[in-house]
Amino acid sequence: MQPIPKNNITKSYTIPLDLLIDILKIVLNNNLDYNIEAINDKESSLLLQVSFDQTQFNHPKAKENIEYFLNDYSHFFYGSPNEQ
Amino acid sequence: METNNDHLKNKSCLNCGNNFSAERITKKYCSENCKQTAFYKRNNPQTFLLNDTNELLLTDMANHNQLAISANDDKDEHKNVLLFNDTARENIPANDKRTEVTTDNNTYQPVQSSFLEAIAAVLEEKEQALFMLTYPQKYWQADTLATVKWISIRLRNLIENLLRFSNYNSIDKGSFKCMTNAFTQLIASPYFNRLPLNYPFTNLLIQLEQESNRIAGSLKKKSIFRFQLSLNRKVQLIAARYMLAGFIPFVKFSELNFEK
Repeated sequence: MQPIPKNNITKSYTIPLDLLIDILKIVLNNNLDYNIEAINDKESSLLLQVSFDQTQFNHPKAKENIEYFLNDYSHFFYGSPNEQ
Repeated sequence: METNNDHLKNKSCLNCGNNFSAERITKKYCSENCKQTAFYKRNNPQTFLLNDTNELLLTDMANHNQLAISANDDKDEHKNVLLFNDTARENIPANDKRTEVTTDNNTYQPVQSSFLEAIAAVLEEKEQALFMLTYPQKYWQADTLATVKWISIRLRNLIENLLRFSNYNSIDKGSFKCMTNAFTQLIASPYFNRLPLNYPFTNLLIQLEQESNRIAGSLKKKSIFRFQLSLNRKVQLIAARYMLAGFIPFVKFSELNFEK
């Protein structure tokens, strides 16, 4: 991964295997810089570090897209209808 | 220009039409009240009444009980009154369709998750079941409800174990057989025979018991193996777990008796 410019936000996400393809689509479609930091073989997930350039119009939207996926997954997998 | 994510921040409630900020892509209603009202609209059109204070009165045709649900805070008090004619349906806001992908270079092209949408679709299809588990006293008497809870606590535990196993790279045969035995004991228990006909997970429980026994029987001399769920089954189980989680707490496997 390239050195991180000042306008960038870098976040690490634990991506479950179920969402991996969808999230990689977001990363690749929007030319986001990414780095696979770790793979949890036991639980079929990976730790993905993604860098978002705040000056690019699509990067903040892509970040939201990723985070909505992970929030929804977490809600369905671990949450309940009582937690709206 | 509105994008998929902006649309999530300013979604329109499918019942009252008010804008609200959604935390989840699949959220359709601004409040629990609207969600309940919409459910009754779809499933019990003949029971909608309006009292003098603009409260929607839902008459239970079987028990003649009345549940009062306050009308939403809406300047147009009559917007929620005309419920089952075509005019009312025209007032329902447009569905939360995703923003169409355009070729405009300044438009974010959102990615949809077919997996998450499949879960949401199952939950929508099983809306009746979700409603039963949200308001169980409306559907089951006390002794029946106790049976339903007894089964549901154990079913939830087994579903969570199945989901956990499916995420592991490998599991040991002993753990899987332990879970399989629990399924068998559950179905053989007197509580299972006393389940009401409208319990929404009876068939699922039977299928899971049969499938887990089939897999356990095929393991032979293997001590560890990879357990996988088909996409459809995984979606179904996640939806079932989600619904049960709103009804009963999670209890550890070691604290549960599956026989009696």
